[in-house]
This record gives sequence, C-alpha cells and structure tokens, in this order.
Amino acid sequence: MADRYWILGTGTWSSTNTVNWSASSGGAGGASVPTASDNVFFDANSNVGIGAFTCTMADTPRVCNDFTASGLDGVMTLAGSSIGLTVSGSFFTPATNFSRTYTGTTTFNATTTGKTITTQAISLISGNFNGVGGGWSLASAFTCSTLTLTNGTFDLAGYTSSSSVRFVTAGGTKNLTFNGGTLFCSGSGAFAFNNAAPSNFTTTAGIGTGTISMTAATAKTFVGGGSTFNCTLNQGGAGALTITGSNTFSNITNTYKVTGATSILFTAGTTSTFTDWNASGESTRLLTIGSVTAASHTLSKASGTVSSDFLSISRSTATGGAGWYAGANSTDGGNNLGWIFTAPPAPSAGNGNFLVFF
Amino acid sequence: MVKIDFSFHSQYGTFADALHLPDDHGLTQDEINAMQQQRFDNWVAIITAPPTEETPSEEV
Repeated sequence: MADRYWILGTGTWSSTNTVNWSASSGGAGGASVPTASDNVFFDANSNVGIGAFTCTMADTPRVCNDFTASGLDGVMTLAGSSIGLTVSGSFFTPATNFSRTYTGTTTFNATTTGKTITTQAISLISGNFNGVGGGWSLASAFTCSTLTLTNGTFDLAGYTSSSSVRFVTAGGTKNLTFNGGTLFCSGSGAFAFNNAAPSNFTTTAGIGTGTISMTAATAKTFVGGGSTFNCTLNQGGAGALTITGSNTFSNITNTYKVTGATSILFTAGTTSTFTDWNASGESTRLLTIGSVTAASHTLSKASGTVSSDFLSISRSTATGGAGWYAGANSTDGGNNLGWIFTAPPAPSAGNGNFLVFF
Repeated sequence: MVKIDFSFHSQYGTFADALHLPDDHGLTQDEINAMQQQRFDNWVAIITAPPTEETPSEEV
C-alpha cells in the first residue's frame, strides 16, 4: 500500500499517466498510477497556486484504496464521461471546493469493515456497495441517483441517504443498518425501492428508529421481496404507495397527511406484518388503505391496539391478535375484516383502589 | 478536522447531515448556518425533482 498525491493541477487520471502523481504532497511527479491498494490524496498542493483544476478520469474504472480530497484551496472537478471509480477503502470529499462531474458508477468494494463514506455536498450518479464482508458507515448525508446494495453492510449511522431514482438490492449478502438514519427513496414507478434480491438481505435497526421514506409525488412501489424491515416504512409523498410482497415492518407511518390525501396499497393475497401501525390521515385528507387489485390483502399485528383515524379502508383483512381500531372518522369502503370502525376504548381507570401516603 | 452534525425537520422527514471542516476553517456561525441551509435546500431540490437517470453535478 502506498500513498499517491495529485499534483500540477489539471490532468488525466488514466491507467498510464504518471505525470500528475507524486509519492508526497507537492512532491515530484512520476509516481506510479494508484492501484486498488493505494490511497489517493487531493490537497492544497494538487493545483497550481490556488487555481481551479480538473482531474479527468479515463480508462474505467479508476481504482484506489482510500479516496481523500481535503484542504483544497482551489475548486477541484473530478470528471470523466461514463468512467467508474472503484474505492476499496474510505471516501472523503470536502465541504467546499469540490465538484463531481464524472458520470460512471462509484463502487465501494472493501472487504473489511470500518470504512467511512463522507460525500458532504456532492451527489453521485450511481453508487454500488459491493464488497463481500465489507462495512461502510456514513459520516454525512449521502445522495445518488441509483443506490445498489450488493454485498456488505451499509450503515446510515443516523444520517440521510437519498436515492432519487431507485434503491435496489443485488445478489449477495447485504445488510442495511439504520442507527436512526433515514433512507429516502424519491423515485417513482415500479422500482423506487426494489428489493430485487431478497435472499441474504437483512436490515438492522441499531440505535434509534430507522426509516425508509417514499416521497415521490407520483405513484411509487416498494418491492419488499418478503423481507423483514427493522425500520419504519413511511408514505411521504402524494403518489400512491404500493407495497408488494409479504413483508414485516417495525412500523408504518404517513407523514404526507399534513399536506394532502394519499394512499397505501397492498398486493392482494399478501400478508404484511407490523410491530406498530401508526399510519393515519387527517380531517379532509383521508389515507386510503386498499389493494392494488379487486381482492383482499392481510395486515397482521400480534398484540396491542392499533389506534388510527381518518382512513378509507377497503379489501383489507386486519388480524394477528391486535385490536385494529380504524377510528371514528374512518370510512369502511367494503370487503374488510377485522377492522373496528370506532376509536379504541379509553384506557382502563383501574379498580378504584389507591394508596395515599402521608 | 471539525465535524458538525446538523439536521432539518421538514414535511419530507428529517434531513441529517454533517459538515466536516478544517480545524482552522475561520468560518463564522452565520456562514456555517448558511452552508447547512444550502445543504438542506440542495437535498430538497433533489428529492422533489422529477426522477432522471442522471443528476447534474454540483459545485460547492
């Protein structure tokens, strides 16, 4: 493992060009092109004076171990048309003076844990976590168009990860850990959240409450793949949220209710299991609970009481042992079983016995 | 390096992020607040924009 420092400002990061690489910060050029085991640095000595510079990647994919851009005193642009960047270690870009224009996939392929991802203000085109046994924790918010989780553990570590087109799982052993973080899926359509490879996919709540929030203003689908999601699934946008698969969730919510009415639709014939159910609407903004097609779905909660309100429910079977109270302001659209269209009973006042201490 | 965690609560949910700044960053609290607000504004723009296959680059 060696360190490689970018020098001389604008240049090409190719498989052959050694002019712009040095073994020390601001040192002589001619060092070898970084390999997957070498750490690359872009710093205050990477440019000429304090001028802006562009590092254009060529010969996809460019590879490195740690990628660190820090202390830049001129704006750096990391460019490359359809050029991927494969990072085997940690990734850090600064809060200022950094621009990403390369359009390839950024692959994180570490095979050990303890790596950190700090993208700060930039967004990536596509991100793929794909290292067998790898583990990455966010150290700032993370944004990309398409996020693929193939192998390894992706820990939100309390931060926000956003996928503007889709989140997708791929064949491998992968884990999504929340630790209080939120995975925002703002894409629309059939695969906004696509657990396409549910085998060996696990989720971990960690500390705090994790959330997957589907925020598109148009119809979007959560393809659960029959997995267990140790987090809250949130309907966060105007578009109807369709949930496919017989999945298990810690909780389900609807934060869009402060803005308007929306829907959560389940695939007929599926059973969705919840630890808690906190999805409700508001006055004049009923939340529709229904099936995608003209047949029923099943909702299951093992114990306790569901205390919802302002729902419009149809083709829904509520079961599992909990008391499913839709609320006094909810409407029965027909073909429902198990739902009780009243408010839940008031908590018991006890038997009237009490102790008085003087 | 100084790490400043921050979050914004919005109708879309909580946006949680962090600023990593050099120890000698010299920024005022107002400037730091402005950077945090810009991060949040950029995030809202991304998650509310119609989805596309490629997002434009951002310079910060």
